[in-house]
Amino acid sequence: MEAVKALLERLDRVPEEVNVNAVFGTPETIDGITLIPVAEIMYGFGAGVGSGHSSEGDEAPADASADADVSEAAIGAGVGAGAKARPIAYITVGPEGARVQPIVDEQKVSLAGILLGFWAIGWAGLVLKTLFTRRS
Amino acid sequence: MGLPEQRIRLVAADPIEVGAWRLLPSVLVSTSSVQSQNKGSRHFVRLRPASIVVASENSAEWIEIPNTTGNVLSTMAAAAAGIALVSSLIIAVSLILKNPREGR
Repeated sequence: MEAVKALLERLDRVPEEVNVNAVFGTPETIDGITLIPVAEIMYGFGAGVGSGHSSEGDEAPADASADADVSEAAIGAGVGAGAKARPIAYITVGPEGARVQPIVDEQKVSLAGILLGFWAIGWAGLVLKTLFTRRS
Repeated sequence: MGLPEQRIRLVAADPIEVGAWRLLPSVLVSTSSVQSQNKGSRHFVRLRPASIVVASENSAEWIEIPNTTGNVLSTMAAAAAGIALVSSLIIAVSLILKNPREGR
């Protein structure tokens, strides 16, 4: 149980010790121009632990010691984590200086555009139906 | 589990040397944590590059790193909200004009 608590304490310190340099990739020089990829990084993790004792109906042996009681206690623990990195831009460094070239997630924008189109068509249909429906 | 504790920090990353240029990047670090005493915890960390300062011997320039995809999606969300608002107003006015109160 102490080991699990120590693990939880170490996990709690992880957000304070993030390495911000991870968002900038390794510079690559091509034809005199240096490219530096830039990404957005997200990650999450969680851990939990719980313990319980056996039900009251279970009879402990007469010579059972305190250690035996502890060993019969049920302990469960779980840890989960996930991470995601998404390129958002790249930096070009040439003789004239540095420039930031944004990267657009075309798939996400296209999907949002399609949804927006359906949304607009739906509202337009509702408005037309209201305007041209005769009063009963 | 208690309420999530959120923090946003602007952190300077290590300088990047490219030829005569020196890039000084900064990163926005957002953390969200939910902790329960001796029972567990959940953490979410987001690292988003904010800007770079491009410095040379003679000059320095601040360049923002835009979140273009996020800006486009926000604009689309605003457009969707505007469409819904205008449509609702048209429908409401139309219904009021079609069904005036009796007795007036």
